[in-house]
Amino acid sequence: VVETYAALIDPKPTARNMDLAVRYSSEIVRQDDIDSLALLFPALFPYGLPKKIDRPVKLSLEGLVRHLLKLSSRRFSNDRYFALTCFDIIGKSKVAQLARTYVSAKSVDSSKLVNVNPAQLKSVMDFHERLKKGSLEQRPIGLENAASLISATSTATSAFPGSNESRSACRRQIFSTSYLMGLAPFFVTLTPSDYRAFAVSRLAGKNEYPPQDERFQIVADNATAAAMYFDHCIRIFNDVVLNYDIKLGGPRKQPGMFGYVQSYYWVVECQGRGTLHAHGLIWALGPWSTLSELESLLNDKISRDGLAGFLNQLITNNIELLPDEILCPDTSCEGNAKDFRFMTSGVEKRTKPGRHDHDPESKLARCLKCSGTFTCTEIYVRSLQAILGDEYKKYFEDKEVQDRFLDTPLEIMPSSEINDIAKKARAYATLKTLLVNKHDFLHRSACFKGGKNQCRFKFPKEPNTRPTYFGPERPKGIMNDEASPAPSQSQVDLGSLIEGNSYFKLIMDVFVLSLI
Amino acid sequence: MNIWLIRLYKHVNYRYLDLFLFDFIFIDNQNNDVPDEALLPISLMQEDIFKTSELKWTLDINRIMPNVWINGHNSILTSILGFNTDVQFTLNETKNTIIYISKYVSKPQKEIYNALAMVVALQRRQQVEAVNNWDNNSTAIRRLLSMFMAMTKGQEIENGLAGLFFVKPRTENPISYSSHRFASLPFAQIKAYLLNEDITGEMIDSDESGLFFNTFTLTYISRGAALEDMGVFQFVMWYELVKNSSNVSDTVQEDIDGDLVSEDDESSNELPVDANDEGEEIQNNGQDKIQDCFSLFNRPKESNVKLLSSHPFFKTHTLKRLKKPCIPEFKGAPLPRIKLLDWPESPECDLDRDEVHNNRERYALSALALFKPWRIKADLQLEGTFWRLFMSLYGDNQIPLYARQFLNRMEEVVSCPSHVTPDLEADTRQVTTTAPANTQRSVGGSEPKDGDHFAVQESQDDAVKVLCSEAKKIVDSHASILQSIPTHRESNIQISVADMKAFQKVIINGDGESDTTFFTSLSRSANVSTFLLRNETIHTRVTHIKRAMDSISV
Repeated sequence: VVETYAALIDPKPTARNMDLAVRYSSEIVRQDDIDSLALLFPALFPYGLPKKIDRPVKLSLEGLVRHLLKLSSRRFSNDRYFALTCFDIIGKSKVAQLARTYVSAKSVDSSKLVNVNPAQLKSVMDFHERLKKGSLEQRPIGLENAASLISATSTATSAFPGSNESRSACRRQIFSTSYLMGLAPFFVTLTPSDYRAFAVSRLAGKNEYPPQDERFQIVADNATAAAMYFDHCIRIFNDVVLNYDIKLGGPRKQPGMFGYVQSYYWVVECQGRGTLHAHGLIWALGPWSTLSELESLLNDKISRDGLAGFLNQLITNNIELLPDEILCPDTSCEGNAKDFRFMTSGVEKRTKPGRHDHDPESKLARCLKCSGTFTCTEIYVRSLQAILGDEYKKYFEDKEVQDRFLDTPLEIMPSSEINDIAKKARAYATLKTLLVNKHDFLHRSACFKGGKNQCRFKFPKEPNTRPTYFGPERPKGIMNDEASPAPSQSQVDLGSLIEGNSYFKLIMDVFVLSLI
Repeated sequence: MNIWLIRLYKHVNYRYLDLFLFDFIFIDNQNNDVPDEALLPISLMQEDIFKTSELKWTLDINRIMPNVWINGHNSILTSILGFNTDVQFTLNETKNTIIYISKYVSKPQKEIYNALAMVVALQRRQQVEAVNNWDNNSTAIRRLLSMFMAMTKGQEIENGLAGLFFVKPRTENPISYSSHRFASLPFAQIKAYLLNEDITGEMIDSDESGLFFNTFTLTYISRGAALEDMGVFQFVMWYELVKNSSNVSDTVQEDIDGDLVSEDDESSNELPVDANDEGEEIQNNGQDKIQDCFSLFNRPKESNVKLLSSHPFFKTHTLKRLKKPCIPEFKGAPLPRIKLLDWPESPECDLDRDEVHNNRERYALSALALFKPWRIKADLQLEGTFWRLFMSLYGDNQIPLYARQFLNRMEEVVSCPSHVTPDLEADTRQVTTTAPANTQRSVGGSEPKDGDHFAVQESQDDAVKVLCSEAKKIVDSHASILQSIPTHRESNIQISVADMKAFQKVIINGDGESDTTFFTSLSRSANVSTFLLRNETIHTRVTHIKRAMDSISV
């Protein structure tokens, strides 16, 4: 019954005192029309809602829904359709409000909006299409009305949260920030995996970590719990990692991971699966204010190296194991990371994603000592096995163990320590990196989006054994079979990052707390 | 004209050379009726305020074997968070790429046949309007709503985003997180005011609808005397117009002003950045510079400022200082590109004098209106022109650093080929009062071809025919795709095809209401633009509806 209540029954309700209401999405519902909500969801409101709520302070539909979704019984938030339907109703009524306000303004001549015929509209839209493609022509004369109709429509549509027009409003805000603060130096993407997090199950009312299929079910049904977890992640990131004090409106005295952050802007998107993720721009304060100043700064070698050093600590392309701990898969060979060379000839040229049973991983590494060729996975497996024994297998094979492992924060050890505990910590960190931040060698369909002939992200990427480098040109062909300069030790030094920065402890505490 | 002198100017980067050149050129061009202020610096690309650069530096972060498949990431974040985090330094790319990234962040989600759907919606709407007898306003509102439905057709919003809408506080934007609040800076309106266009029409009387529209420009120019020295930009950052609380009369308001100040100070004593903390990174003589950079962020002293009596709300409203600065959200076309300001004799310029003159006026007007305090137009002009005042301020080094940086950064962003003006409609009107003689000459100069767009005079029937054939084409092309694509992709496309078919039927029959119930409901269900459920695609919804329909008809 619940499944079909949106689609069933009388398509044109006329009587006010009916038992069940069906709202089509093409209808606009007034935002104060609370009583119809009970009719839309008879299973959730068995006793209905009073026709007219007598309150000193008026309650809007949005306020009511916000309240209902936070009830501890989770009756409403666990309903698959409730939040979405209410969102639709409220969003549309917001648009209607804005449309009314817009048209009522005296500066808007509503006769302009009325006197448009479809042909004019079509030609204006074609004109916009051409403008987007880079045409520089002027708008044909006589189409002002149609143009104002389109701009009025997009103004009204921008009131709908998540519509493309509301996103272009975000774009305007990003550029406004860029005008004031310069171009953003950092681009960060966060993809909190809600189906893995225990926090989501907890918010949905479970006391134990459920099996995977159940967790997917929870995330699909209880959008509110997933959204609360996501909201929490972004806020914690801003507060702890960026160390930005939102209440005072500025960075705290201790620098965060990106230094002093002047401003940030995240825009939320949905993946095809429905998981929320956010792209963010971070305006960290640098010793430059414009690009030309940055360029003159980079002309100086000392500041260049300083910036490169900072970025090397922030961003890494390597796994957390030290070069000595990455071993040759041939057990009789004593080679380590320094002895591996990248085989350019081994790179497959793909135009579409591969399949697991058809395409084995190509051998990209050659050991100089035993002159054997290996796949990258073989090397990782051998190195992890040397430290963790056969324990490593369960993290790859057992999805349940993997999810629990990824959901648990790890302790971080300074890389300068070389004892067994530090080694194990590094191995676990490597496991996480391999599970989360490794590009699939089979590629995904997203790699070839837009008709690309090769992987959009340019994987596999050629190694660059120099220390992090800032230069006028990208060095080419440094690291292949022929050239072999001495590899450097410049791994990310976790220790130096930790020193003086307490944020990593904070972030751990907060995330552990969020699980309890 | 002494071309070599201009070349010399271009090569010798010396600011005062223009003063030296001034006389020559002035005398040279006196007969041409060109206003003299246009003859100040010829090429502006070398001036520090206008200088932009294309970054050539690239960053290569160390990567050893066998990590050829590893994404750039942050070790600590990965270890603790356990989900995919992508961290990138953007400034090592070309400027174009940086702008691309900025735009990527707020990219639109996928669009399906928006244009066609809107045209069809208008067509249907007109049929309905012909029957009913509404006045212009209500027709326009209804029309806007149906256009909105058509525009969002095919845009999908997942369950998660709906959840987030209810989770986030109401005051925040449901799809974004930002460190600052944004305040609207209606730049097009300000420009229109300064160019004596009619904006008083925005005020409407409250008798009928209960709505008030206050123009920002009016508020700014009737700000109290305490804010005499504040430019528009800073004004937007720090002040908002609020209604006086009803139980406090004007006289009492003044008395409690002092208390309000002290409360404010307690709550936000330490404001934004302690620039001194990172003195190592900045040169010693940079301290003044930093102060200047952040002077926009320094809190103004006055917490509550009264409006002048010229403002219609001066009795009921006050300007209140915000606790934290807002970022002005720039609404309207950006400033003209610097390369359009170069004087025609400079070798790289292909514009003629009137155009350059107009561009310079526009540029100076914009720059001054944003940062120089003003009340009337004459405040921004010297001897009748904006440009002359701008250059004289510039020559005297009186343009504050933050303004120079703002102009420079805006140029950096706008000069990118990948940057498209966000508002296509925002600033289409002519900004200059005196239209130049050769407005027909567009920058790119490509004339629209005949077949490219519908002629305006074309009758409505013809347009409908063309629409039908287009709809048919789309349906046909997707029918073939539909057969070739198996499984889950089908659902999305199927709905749009069915949609199109329904529309086509409506158009061909010329009768919106006589459709079969199935198609009506199908097109309605397709209308659930925002209704893609998380695990249940539209496809399954359609089967549900089908089943429901079957059961009813049985």
